[in-house]
Amino acid sequence: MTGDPLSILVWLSAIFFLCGFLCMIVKRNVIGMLIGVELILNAANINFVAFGQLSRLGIDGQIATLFVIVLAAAEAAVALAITLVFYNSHSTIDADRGESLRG
Amino acid sequence: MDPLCYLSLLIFLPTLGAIILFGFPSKAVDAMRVFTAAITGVVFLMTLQLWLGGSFNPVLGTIQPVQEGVSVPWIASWNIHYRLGYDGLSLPLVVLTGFVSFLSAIASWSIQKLHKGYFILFLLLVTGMLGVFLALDFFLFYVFWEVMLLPMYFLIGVWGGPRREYAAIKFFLYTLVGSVLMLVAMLMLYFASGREFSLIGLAQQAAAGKFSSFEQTVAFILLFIGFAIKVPCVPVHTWLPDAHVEAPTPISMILAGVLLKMGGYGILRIAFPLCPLGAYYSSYALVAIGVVSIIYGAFAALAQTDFKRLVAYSSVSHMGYVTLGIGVWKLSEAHGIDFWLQGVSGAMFQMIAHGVSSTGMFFMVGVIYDRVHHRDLNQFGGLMGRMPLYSGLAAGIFFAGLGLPGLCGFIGEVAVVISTWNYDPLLAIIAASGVVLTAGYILWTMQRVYLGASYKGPHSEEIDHMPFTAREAFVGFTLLIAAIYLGVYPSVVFDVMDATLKGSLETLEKAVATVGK
Amino acid sequence: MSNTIAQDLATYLAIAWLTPLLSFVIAIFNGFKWGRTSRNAAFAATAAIATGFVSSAIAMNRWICEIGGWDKLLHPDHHEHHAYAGVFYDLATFGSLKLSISYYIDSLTLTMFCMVTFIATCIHIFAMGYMSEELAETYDDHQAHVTRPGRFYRFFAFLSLFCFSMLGLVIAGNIFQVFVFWELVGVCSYLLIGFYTERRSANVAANKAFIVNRVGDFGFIIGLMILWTYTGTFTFSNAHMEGAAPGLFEIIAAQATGASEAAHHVAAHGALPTVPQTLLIIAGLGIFAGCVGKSAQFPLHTWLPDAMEGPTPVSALVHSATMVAAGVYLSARFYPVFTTEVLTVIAYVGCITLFVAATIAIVATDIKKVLAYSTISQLGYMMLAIGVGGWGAGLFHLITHAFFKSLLFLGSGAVIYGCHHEQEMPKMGGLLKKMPVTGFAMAVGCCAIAGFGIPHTNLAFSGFFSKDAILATALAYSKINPSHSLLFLAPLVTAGITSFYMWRLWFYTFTGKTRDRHVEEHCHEVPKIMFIPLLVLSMLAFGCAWGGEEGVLYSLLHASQPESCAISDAGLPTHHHIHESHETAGVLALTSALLGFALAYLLYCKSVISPAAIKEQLKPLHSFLVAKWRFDELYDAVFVWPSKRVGGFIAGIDRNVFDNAIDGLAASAVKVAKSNRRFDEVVVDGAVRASGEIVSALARTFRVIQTGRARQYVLFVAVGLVLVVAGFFGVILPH
Repeated sequence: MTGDPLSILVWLSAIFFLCGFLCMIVKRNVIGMLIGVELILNAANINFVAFGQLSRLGIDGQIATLFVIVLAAAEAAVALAITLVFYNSHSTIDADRGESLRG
Repeated sequence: MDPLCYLSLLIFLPTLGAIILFGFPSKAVDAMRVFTAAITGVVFLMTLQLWLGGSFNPVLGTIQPVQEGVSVPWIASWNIHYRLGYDGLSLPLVVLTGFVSFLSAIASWSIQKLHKGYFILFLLLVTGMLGVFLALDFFLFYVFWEVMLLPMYFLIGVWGGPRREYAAIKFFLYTLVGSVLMLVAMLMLYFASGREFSLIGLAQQAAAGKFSSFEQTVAFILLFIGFAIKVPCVPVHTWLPDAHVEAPTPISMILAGVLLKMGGYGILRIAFPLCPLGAYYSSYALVAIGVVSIIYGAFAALAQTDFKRLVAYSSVSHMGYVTLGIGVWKLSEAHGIDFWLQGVSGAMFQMIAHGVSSTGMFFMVGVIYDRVHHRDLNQFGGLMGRMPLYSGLAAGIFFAGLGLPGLCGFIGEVAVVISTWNYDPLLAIIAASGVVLTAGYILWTMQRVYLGASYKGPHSEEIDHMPFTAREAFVGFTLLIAAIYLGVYPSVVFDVMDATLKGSLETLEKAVATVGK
Repeated sequence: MSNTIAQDLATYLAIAWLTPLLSFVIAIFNGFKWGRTSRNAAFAATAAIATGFVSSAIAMNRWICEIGGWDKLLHPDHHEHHAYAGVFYDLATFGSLKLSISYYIDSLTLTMFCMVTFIATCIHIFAMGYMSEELAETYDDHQAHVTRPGRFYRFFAFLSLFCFSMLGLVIAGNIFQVFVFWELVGVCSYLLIGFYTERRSANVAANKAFIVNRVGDFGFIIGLMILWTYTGTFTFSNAHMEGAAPGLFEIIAAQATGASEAAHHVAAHGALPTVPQTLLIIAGLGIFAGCVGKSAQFPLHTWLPDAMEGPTPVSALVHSATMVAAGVYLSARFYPVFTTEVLTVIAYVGCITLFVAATIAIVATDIKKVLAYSTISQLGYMMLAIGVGGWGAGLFHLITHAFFKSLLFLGSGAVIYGCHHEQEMPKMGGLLKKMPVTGFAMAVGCCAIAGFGIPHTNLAFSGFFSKDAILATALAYSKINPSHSLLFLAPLVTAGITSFYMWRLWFYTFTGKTRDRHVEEHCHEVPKIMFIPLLVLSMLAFGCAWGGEEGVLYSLLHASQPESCAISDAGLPTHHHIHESHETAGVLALTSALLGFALAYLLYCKSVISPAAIKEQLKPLHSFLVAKWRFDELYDAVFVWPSKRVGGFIAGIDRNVFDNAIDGLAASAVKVAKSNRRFDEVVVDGAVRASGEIVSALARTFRVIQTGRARQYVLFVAVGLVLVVAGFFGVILPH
């Protein structure tokens, strides 16, 4: 491990990602899963910003980050709507109760 | 009226009628009968108009230009045209088609089931038949040839007798084999001629010697087999007795009266002009086949016990004269093509005459079958006393079939037979012996059916319950009068076709002579 | 001038010819309306044929005026033909070939017209009486055991149609037209023989007549074909008209006489066609075969006796006087075309026929059958005469025979009518007392046919003159050709036989005692309407040949005598030869006839010897004759049976060979189709289905991981990502 700021940020991002990922697969609560998704998205954002600042990627990294933030907002809105519908039909927000995707 | 429109109207009027028939309620049987009869009646009048209306000039009219030959492009990329026309060769047959269709429409009163379908198919059949005789484009001819096949298949297969499916399939397969051979020949000539489908154009090219003698021979054999099935010639005739026996009466009438003529017409219109050399080389085979058919059919008829089957075999025998007459292609020193012309004219006349006489014979069989529901020759007798008018008319018609002078059957037969000696004395003698056999089987039949002390078969009471109706008498009288008229004044037909046939035969003769050098 | 007379004659004869047709049409269409009991049809038919006779007589008169009156006819200065030919209308034209309805009129035509119409008129009148039983709503046919409506009008309609056909045959100007009407008289004969349609025997006889005639016609057609092919014309003759194309007679004559005369024609018409000699003989034989059929000559004679099934007036008109004579008429008409060989054949056929038929007539017991065989025999005489060059003699006999044979037949008809349809002579006898007029008339007929007369005077029955003429010609012929002397001996002997069987008939019927009680009780003389024709005909049977060869009748016929193409080298007797033989032949014939008469008188009238004893003595011969020389059995075995067998065989071929072949073809097509279907189902479909199976199996396997739980999917995505990255860095990059 080096003191290189970029690598520190990448590590940070990786930890964030792992947290988000674990949150997604562990939480049965849909809201919890959504939080995990947000974590993963932000992990990506950290990477974009870090590379935008510290490598040749430049301003594009920040643009991508902004794009992801907007995307996350939209995604959260849709996901919450789905959750609401899911709750209305199943009277729960336990993700394991939804099995209609099973093959 | 514009000839193209007139001829198209003539051909498709029955189709139009068939479409209108769709709108009839199924219960309105009488209305459908009358409507069909009216449509065919109009068709008959229109064919008469062609003949007597002044547009036909018997003096003109070698095969090219065919009178009233008119065309519009149909499938231009393949050089297919919608080409119609008539000359002295087809006109008598067109009129015959109108005549026989009309009478069989009147005879169709006896149909007992599924009237609507029957009449629709009947009218479609009429369209097909007229189309065959009026088409001057090989492709169009082929299309009509097939169009006519389908209604016939259903008419036999649905409205026929006990073995109708067998008969219908047999008929269909036989004819289909014929059409396939014709199709092959058609494509052969199409490519050999540089993509030409016009029968006139093809004939011109053939006359100019454009096709090699090999091509002509092969094409002729293919075409001839195709048409011979239709005529029918021995040994490809066995569909005929079955189809006739199983078909309902009006369909038998059409089958004998018109469909068989398509074979002879095809040979004269297509096989000969398109392959003059092939025809010339094969002429002996034609004559021999004709003679064999005459004798074979007569002997087979002698042995039948089914009334309708007997009449069917008599058709084989009578149509043998057609093949024979067409084939006697040999020039005489003193008279040039005259004997051949006589043979071909006789063959054409025989077709018309047979169209009248055998239509009548089948009708007469149908009339008695409608009453007693059997056709066993050994179980008739004494009808002369029970149904005098019917028996009298039937006797007249059967005498016409026998070839009695003064009736239509005689002229064609005798013209053909006496033209044969010039071709080959031996075959001529064999053909002449047919007269004895014909007399034998017809008279024997008449004896068993009409003469004798009393009727011996079943359903005797039906004969009294169903008297000979005015409608049936009308059909019988019309046919008998036609038979007498043609027998006494045959030049009415000969005059129409004389110029056409003469021109056509001369062209053929020239075509062969040029290649011969 | 000659044009107008031709037109006049043609018009008169056409009226005579067509009026019966009109009567036929009227009767056939109105008969039903008139009703069963109306005599209108008979009146129409009789009026028509009587008109025909008047019209023919006018034509005859016109012709005689044209040649210069009766004197000129009886004493012609030189041999000149007064013949007229022309065309009514064309049936068909093929290039230069023409089939037409035309006329050829000479004195033979006119004589035939007068004879036919006259006899037909008499017979029509007779038939009005004879057929009167048919004038009823119900008629009991005892022979067929049925009761049916009467058919009076139909009978007369058919008679009219027959007269039309017969006259058409006579007026015909070409051999084709002769053939046309030849067939038509055949069919009329068929209709009339089979008039009692309920009787099986009548139907069989009618069929037999028509079919046997058709056998002859087969030959006729061959003759037609040959002549047509080589000459291109059917016309008899152009009758020396200016501008008319030469007919058969001119062509054959030119061919026979050689170049000198032909040159004249060549100048006029271009080269005339010729017929090769062999084919000319075959053509002649062919045409003659037609005559053999129609005139019931050996070997086609078997139909005529059976034809007696028809009503007796029909037998009188059709089967004795007119139609059967048509064969002789045609042989005479076609005489110029027959070569020597053909003439010899004709002579021998006639000779055999006259003898065979006469022998059968001896043993026949049916009164009409005797007359039928006698007709065949007499027709044989006529044929013989034509064959030996006695053209005039043959036709002379034709006319006289027509009169006396129609008389005899009407007489027999009267007997049958009087005896209530009994035809068997063994049941009759002694009828002279009850039927004197009939008996007298029959006696005149017998005298005529036997040829009684006093030589060197005009006091003789008509048959004497004509038979005398024939025998004289035959004698002259056999003198010139000694190897053919049979041609004289056979007719001489037969003259005796003729006289014997005819007088046997008369004595058997009219003398002695009635042998059947039923006949005895019912027998009565016939009404006037029937015996007046008998008397008229007896007068003519006696006197029609008045004057013999110097008389009117013979002169009329002689005026048409053609030159044979065979005359130059045939050894045919000339007029001079025949004249020399007249004396001898006449005396011999008369002696022979008287011997026959005497024998019949002794056997059947005086019963000096019992006929039954003779019958017993000559039993094999008798039964052979009763079986009519076994011709019917022979023909059945040789022709009829084989034809039916061949027919059955061919129908069998059709059923078993052709149909089986086609059905077999169809069956094998179905088999091929079936195996094709199996191939399709097993191989092609199998392959497709197998690939589907594989995919499906894989799908089943991977289905397990599709749990439907979003969290697991996230896990799988992660694991997958790790695996991909690991694979990328661990496996792909190192390479």
